[in-house]
Amino acid sequence: MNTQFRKGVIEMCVLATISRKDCYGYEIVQEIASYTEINEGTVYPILRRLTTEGHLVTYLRESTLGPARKYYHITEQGQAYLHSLQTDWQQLFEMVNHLLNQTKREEQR
Amino acid sequence: MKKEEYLKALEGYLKKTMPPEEVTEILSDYDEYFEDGRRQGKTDEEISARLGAPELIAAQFLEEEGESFQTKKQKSREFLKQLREKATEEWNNWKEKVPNVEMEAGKGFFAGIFDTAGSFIETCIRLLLAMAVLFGLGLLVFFGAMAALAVLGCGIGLIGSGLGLLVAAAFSFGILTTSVSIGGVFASVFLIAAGLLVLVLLAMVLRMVLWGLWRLWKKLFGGIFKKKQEA
Repeated sequence: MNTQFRKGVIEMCVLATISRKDCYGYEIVQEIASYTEINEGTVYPILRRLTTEGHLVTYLRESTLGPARKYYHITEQGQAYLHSLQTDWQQLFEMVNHLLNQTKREEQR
Repeated sequence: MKKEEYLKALEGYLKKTMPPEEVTEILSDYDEYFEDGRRQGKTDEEISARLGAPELIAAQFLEEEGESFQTKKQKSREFLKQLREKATEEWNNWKEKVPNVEMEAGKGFFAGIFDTAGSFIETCIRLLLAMAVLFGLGLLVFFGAMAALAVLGCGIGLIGSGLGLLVAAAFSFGILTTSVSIGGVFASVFLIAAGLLVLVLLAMVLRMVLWGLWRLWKKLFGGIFKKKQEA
C-alpha cells in the first residue's frame, strides 16, 4: 500500500480508536496492529503530530503496575477531523468500488 | 536490540534535528512502550524488531513535523491566493464599469488633418474648425488659470491673516483681557483652517478640470499628425 495513503488511513484509525476511549500509546499500537500489518514505529510520530495540531490531548494517569502512563484523549477538533476523514474514506471507498464493478461488468460482456 | 541500546540509538538520531525537550519526551514515550511490552511478556528484541530501525523512526518524526508545517504553509498560501483572486475580481469588475479613456491613435476628431490625401476644401474647413476650437480652449484655459490664481490668493490670504491674528493674540495676552485673546486664537485657527480648505478644494477642482481637458484634447486632437485612417 502506498505510504502516504497508508499513513492517512492509520491517522483515521488512531483517531477512531481514541474516540471510543482514552488510550495509552502501547494500547493504540496493539489495537491497530491486531487488524493490519503495520510498522509499529510509525504510530508514535502520527500520535505526536495529531497532538501538536490539537486533535488530541495527553494526560498522565497513575498506574498500580508502575510509573504514570501517558494517555491520549480526542478533542472536539479531533472529532470533527475524524468525521471529515471518515467521509473522505467513505466517498473514496464507494468510488473505487463503483469503478471496480464497472470494470468487472465490462469484462463479463 | 536491548531497550537501553535502542533508546540510546534513537536519542542519537533525534538529537540531530529536534530540540532537547522534545527528544526527552519522545524517549520517555518509547521507554514506556518497551515497559508495556515487557509486561506483556515480549522480549526487547521482539519489541525493537516490531518498532523498526531507530533511524527510520527519527526520520518519521521529522517527516510528520514537516507535514504539519506544510499544512500550515499550505493553508496560509491558500488564504493569500483566495484574497488575491478576490481582489483581482473586484478590480476587473471596477475596470469594466469605468469607460475606456485611452483613445486609440488616429481616432481623434481632427485626426489626419494635415494629410493632403483628402480634398482641399475639406482640409481647409477642418483646419479652420481646429483653429477655432483651439482658440476657444485657449481662452477657457486662460480665464480658468486667472480664476485659479484668484482662489489661490484667497486661500493664502486667509492663512496669512489667520497667522497674523494668531501672533497678535499671542502677544496680546498681557495687554488685553484673556477672553479676547483666546477668542483671537480661535479666530486665527479658524481662518487658517478655512485657508487650507480653500487650497485643498482648489487642488481637487484643478485636477478634475485638467483631467477633463486632457480627455477632450485626446478626443479632438488624438493622432492629429497621423495619416487619415480609413473611415
